[in-house]
Amino acid sequence: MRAVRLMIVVALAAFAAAQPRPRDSVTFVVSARSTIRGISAAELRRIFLGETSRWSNRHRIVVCLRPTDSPEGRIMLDRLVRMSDIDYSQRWIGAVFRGAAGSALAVFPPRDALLKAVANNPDAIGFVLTGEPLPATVRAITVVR
Amino acid sequence: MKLEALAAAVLSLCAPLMAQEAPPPFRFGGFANVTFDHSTRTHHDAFAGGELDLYASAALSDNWSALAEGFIQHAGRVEDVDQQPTKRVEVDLERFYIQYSPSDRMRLELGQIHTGIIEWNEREHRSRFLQTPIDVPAIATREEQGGAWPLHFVGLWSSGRLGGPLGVEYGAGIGEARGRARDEIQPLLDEKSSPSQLVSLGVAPDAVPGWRLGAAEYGGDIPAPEGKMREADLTAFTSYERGGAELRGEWAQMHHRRLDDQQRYVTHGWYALASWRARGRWKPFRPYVLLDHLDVADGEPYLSEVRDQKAWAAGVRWDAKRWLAVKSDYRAQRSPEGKHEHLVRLQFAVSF
Repeated sequence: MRAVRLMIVVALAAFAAAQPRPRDSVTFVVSARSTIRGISAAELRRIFLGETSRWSNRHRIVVCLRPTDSPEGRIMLDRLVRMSDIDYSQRWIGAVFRGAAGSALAVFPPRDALLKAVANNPDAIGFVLTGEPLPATVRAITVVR
Repeated sequence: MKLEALAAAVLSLCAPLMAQEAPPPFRFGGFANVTFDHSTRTHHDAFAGGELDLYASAALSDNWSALAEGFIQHAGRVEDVDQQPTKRVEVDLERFYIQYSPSDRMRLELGQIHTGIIEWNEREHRSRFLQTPIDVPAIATREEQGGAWPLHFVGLWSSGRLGGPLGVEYGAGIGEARGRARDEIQPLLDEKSSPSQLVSLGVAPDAVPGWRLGAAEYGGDIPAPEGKMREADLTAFTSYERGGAELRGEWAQMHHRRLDDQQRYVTHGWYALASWRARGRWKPFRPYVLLDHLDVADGEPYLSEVRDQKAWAAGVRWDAKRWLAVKSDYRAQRSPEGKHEHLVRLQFAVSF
């Protein structure tokens, strides 16, 4: 009987572990004043790699990052751009050096500073952990696979 | 006449800049490297001060920017452990251009730029810090360091990335062709000079993130001392970078035809690079293997100072800091005398 109970507990734990947890993903945010509603995953990747530097309205994109050693920074590296923090840093140095990227990355250690920067600039894009409350000044965008 | 037309076009495009009152924001940066070599054939050691590469960019407006890059290096420096060290220092301008970029689909550059005929050069430029291995492949070696391909020109270059799932990238440019010597660019808008043309086309499909494939073609006339030559170069490259993997390969062919006697010379080369970013606590390390090959056409007078190469190198890059890369490798190559030699090297490359 004890073995059955243990098996159920293990099965429930395994099931729970298999479910995507809100804090295991990030939500991409733009200013509430932005006209951007949705974006493809491929385009999002190109933006965070510095390959796409303009929105469809031709305004220059301002990429706002959390530090790459923060939970949301690690998720972005692992799931979106699929590279290490070292390679990501070198890639942006190269993009600026080649004249391909419009500007260097803006990194915001405090989460609130990132949200404030995104809220104040309709051309900015950033990300936070999914499930965290967002102020009315920013809006989550839909990422289409 | 060409000069006046060009000046008028530039001035008309620059009108919005002149209305700007605030000074443009500048950004400065640079790269430097030093390399220690030991030859197992001659048992010579060398500690070579490499290059100091400095650049500055300015965002003049939302659509306009400018970039200048210069470098300082020992004159006559080549990747040769047996070469006598020199104290003469060379200072030169690498790139200097003004850029108009209203969208990702179109980027116009005017000035001294890289031709883009060799993808390695277009991607890494002069920086040893940005590239994984110690060496620049033979086909991407700079003209003044014994390279064969025309990596620089003065002119106009247009490039961009078209929308769509195929990720089509294009480039087209026109500028002054090469001069009497390999590392010489003909004077801009000189009546006697001849233009060179370059076109490139590539794809980076959304379906295979990290993969790129492309080709480029360069053509121009060379006023070589041995007789005027017509140059036609063709290159193709592919690369895959994702999840810590870096796989890159490039093939290049240079075709020279002397117009006097129709004598033809064909030079070709290629390289392949594979590297992998280690994981976990070994994350700062990136082992790599580089294969490098260059076969210069026999009797080619314009490339008389360019030597064949058939080399391989295996090593590891250690990203000790965000700004410091320490690389070490073992390289087998052909010496300037045509003999096989083995080198053990250590390189420090920094970014600032």
